Amino acid sequence: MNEIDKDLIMKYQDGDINSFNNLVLRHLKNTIGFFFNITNNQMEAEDLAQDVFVKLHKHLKNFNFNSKFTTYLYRVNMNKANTWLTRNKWKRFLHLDQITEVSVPDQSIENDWKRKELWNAVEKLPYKQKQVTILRVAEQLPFKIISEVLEMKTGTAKVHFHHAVNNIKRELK
Amino acid sequence: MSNFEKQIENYHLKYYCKVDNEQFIQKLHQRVKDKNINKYSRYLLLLLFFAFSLLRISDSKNIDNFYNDSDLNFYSGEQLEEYSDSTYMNNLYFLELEEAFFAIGEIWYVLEFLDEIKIEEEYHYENYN
Repeated sequence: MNEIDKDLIMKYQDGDINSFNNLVLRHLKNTIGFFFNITNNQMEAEDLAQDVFVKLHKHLKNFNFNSKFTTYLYRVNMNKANTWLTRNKWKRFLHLDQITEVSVPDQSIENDWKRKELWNAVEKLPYKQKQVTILRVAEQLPFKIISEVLEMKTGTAKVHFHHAVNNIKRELK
Repeated sequence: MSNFEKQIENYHLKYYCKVDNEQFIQKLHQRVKDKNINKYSRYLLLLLFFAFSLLRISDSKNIDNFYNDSDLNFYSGEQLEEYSDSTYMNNLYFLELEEAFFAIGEIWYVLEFLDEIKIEEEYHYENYN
């Protein structure tokens, strides 16, 4: 575990709220970036990141350092993203996702559309495949770390991703 | 790795938007506070609901309250006396009894009369059915 993270968490467990704030700031950009990849919406990504850190505020008090903090954070992020994708399925069904979204200026509309289609397809994947794909695409993690986060062998993670890609290809055709 | 796999991995967006750290932290702590308040109000509501349910259950076990509840027992108590035809007939019957008491005066005659009325009533209902 990163010693700085460990130190900050231990201080937070002793009641130092500033340590928690520093921990948030250390991982803020990556967390928002992760959600931005899935939502393609700045506001929504910040909102999801807030949810994650609210959860950490509660659970880090009992964190027992069995795993790296980053592994733990990836897992919380992935679960949150999974919930968002499922919830968004109903939004799409009710046509609530047609509200204009704030996206980065240099992206083409076609890319935005493709990305949306991709996440629609990811949402339909079986659970394990979905988990691996979220971490691989949105977080760009190597398979070794994905296997640590999801507690599976590296080969299994690769197989899940391979099947996921085939399923996405079939879905996007 | 196939081309499509590479293509999917290249959908990754490099995030470069600026985040107002101070505002984010402030908002985060406000959210934690709100969540705690919501948690306590939820417990309070549950407690109130539980207490209210207990009161209702104990009330419903009391037979007097059950008959006093005019919504639950529309055809009992005052509503029954006011709206039922059969209670109107009963009232007439009691009026007749009163008249008999005052007109005859003798207890044995009264008892005989009551007995006759009773027989007549039963006879009347048997024919009626």
